[in-house]
Amino acid sequence: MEFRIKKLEMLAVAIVALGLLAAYAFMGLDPIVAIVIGALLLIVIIAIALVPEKAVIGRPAVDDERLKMADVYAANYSWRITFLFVCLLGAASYTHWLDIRAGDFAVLVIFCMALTRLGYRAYFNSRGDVA
Amino acid sequence: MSNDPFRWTVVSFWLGGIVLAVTSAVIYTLNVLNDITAVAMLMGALMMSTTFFNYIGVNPAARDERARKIGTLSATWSWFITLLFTSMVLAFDIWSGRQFETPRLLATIVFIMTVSMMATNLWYSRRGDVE
Repeated sequence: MEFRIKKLEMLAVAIVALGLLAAYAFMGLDPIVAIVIGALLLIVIIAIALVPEKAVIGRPAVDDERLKMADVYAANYSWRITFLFVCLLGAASYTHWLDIRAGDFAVLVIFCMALTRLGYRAYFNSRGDVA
Repeated sequence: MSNDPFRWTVVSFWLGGIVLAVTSAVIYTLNVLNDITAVAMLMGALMMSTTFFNYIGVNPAARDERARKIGTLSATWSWFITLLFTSMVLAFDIWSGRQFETPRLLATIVFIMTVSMMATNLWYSRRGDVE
């Protein structure tokens, strides 16, 4: 049951994040509004996903070693991809290949962190054992 | 001098982290992203990212149970700290009128990622066992 809820959460976050990014990029939505809504939504959903479920809805906390390891490994892979992404953005900015504002830089980093972590968590959960 | 490959992984990872932390502090302080700082960032990023999975113990060839627990947990904490920090920067960028410049934001994010990773790693290593 918990596993199904996690999968639905991840799907919802991915859809919302991609939708906001698309709206920001292609549909003329005010960038400030899109960025603020997207960032706040991601923070709230990730915070809820990280809190033990006992604290949220009164059920016992998930104590499954496999799920914990999948989440931790997802964070590790996400950390490394974000690190490379930040360096890549820095290089693109340095060479003037990409003229990027600091606010856009921050929102791209947040999107990269959230999406890679959720993607890797879905991947490790579907794959089975992470070890 | 030992020929243990893991020792060189540790040396490379920490040296890369120190290079990145110092370089990003210089970029932030002087607000300059020139050839020297860009090459230093590149060197640090290469040293850190190429040894990342061996250092945190995710690579099965370099697995040590305690090192794996410490490495994976510190990377997870670093991921979380970076996400919160970037979100705060974004909020300040929008609402406080404190406009970051792109090289400074790049330097700050790299600094937070590397220093939080190394600090939590050191803290867990000194604390002993990790649950």
